[in-house]
Amino acid sequence: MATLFDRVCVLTKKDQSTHRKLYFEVPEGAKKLHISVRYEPKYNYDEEYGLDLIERSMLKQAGEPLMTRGEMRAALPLDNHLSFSLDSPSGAAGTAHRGNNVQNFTICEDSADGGFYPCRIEQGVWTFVISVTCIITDKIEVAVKIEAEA
Amino acid sequence: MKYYRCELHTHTTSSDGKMTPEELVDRALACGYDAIALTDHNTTAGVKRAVEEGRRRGLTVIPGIEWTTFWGHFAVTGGKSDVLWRDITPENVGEKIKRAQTLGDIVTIAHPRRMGYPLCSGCHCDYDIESISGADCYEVWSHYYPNEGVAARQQKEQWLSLLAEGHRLSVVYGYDWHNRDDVPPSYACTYVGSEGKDADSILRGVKSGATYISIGVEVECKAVSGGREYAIGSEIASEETEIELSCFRSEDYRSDKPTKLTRAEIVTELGKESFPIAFGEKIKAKATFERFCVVCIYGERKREEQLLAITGAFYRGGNG
Repeated sequence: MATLFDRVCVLTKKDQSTHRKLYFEVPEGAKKLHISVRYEPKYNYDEEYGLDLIERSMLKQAGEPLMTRGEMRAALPLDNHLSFSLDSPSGAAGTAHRGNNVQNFTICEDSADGGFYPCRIEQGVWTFVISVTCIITDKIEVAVKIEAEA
Repeated sequence: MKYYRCELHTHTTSSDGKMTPEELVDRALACGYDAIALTDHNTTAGVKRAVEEGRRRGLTVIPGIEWTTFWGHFAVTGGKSDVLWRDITPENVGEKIKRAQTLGDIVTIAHPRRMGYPLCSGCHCDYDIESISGADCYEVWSHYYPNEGVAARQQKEQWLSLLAEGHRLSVVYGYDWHNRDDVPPSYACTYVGSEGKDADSILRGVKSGATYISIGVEVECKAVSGGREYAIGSEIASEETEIELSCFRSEDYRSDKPTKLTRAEIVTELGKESFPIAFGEKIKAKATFERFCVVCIYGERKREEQLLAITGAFYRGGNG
């Protein structure tokens, strides 16, 4: 198994609603990709911050209360949410839009999991994209490891 | 034309749903749907399995995807679009909708007034409404308890306001079905008027505007004008229009069924007027409008009067 990418990427609140692209090179002869992602922290346990952010966002979006205080409290703790996409040299190879902060994917010509499409593991430059759907902590550290199996 | 019981907004384990494509088909059949659309977040990875399972089990499964952008969500059905969700921005969203429609897909504005950031980022529509008003459908109701709360009221108001401005948006409900829901909580259903139960026919029905959304009520509604009958979604040229309406209990509805009907309300850009109605009774009422006319059905449910059904619009225009 060859490691093609192994790095920690740091995101801050300035990255909200942006796509961070990570490039990696797939060598000739690769048949399968294994992708492991882990991001921390998942949750923001600051209750006061959470309630205040929900209330301000709610009034900005709806102009009136959408939720009771009890419903807002039940929605805590707030959590970070990232989506992950993969582009092969030929084009989009799918997106994993899932809630958990530890995700593992295997992609090959016959099968793929987690929202990705089965595809040939072409030689060339691929792109792994982190889409910052929601960041509610000062920073998120995203560890991405991509390995190729011949 | 027959009205089919459809759910056009669902998810599986290919995104953040809890059911596999096969389990989704199984649950949809148990809930009495004639057709569903699979609209996983930003992927069509589960579509092939769901369509095959649907074919095997006798359920129409319409290919789809939910464009889950940072500024709003769209349920895109038909499986023909080549638009990549990451390319959609507030500046080009109207062009991307048009592109999907040109390729043969139907674009639905999904849960536009639901709470977004920081609870469900992108769930609230932050796009300029004018830039997305060329979409085909509007989710007036969404998710659990769809006719209750501020978001439902605001969505209905925004949809009616778009119709009053001359936009044509089919009314749909989106269960936004993620969980197994063996006993479904309070939910609704989109009924689609169609010549057949296959995916293309259902999508043609949605596109034509022949839809209504309902909680436990089946609706027969047509307009009569100039000696002709018109289905929901039709253009009507003559100013003399009469709405004919009958409502029945839905045998497939599974939670908190309505106990009785109280009134039907004809809503146009000029105002609204109510008429008493009961299950099984046929009523006729004159409708005066220059842009659109929709019918809202109210009844008793959970011991209070609730809005139970909303028909798609009849439009003024054309030669018919």
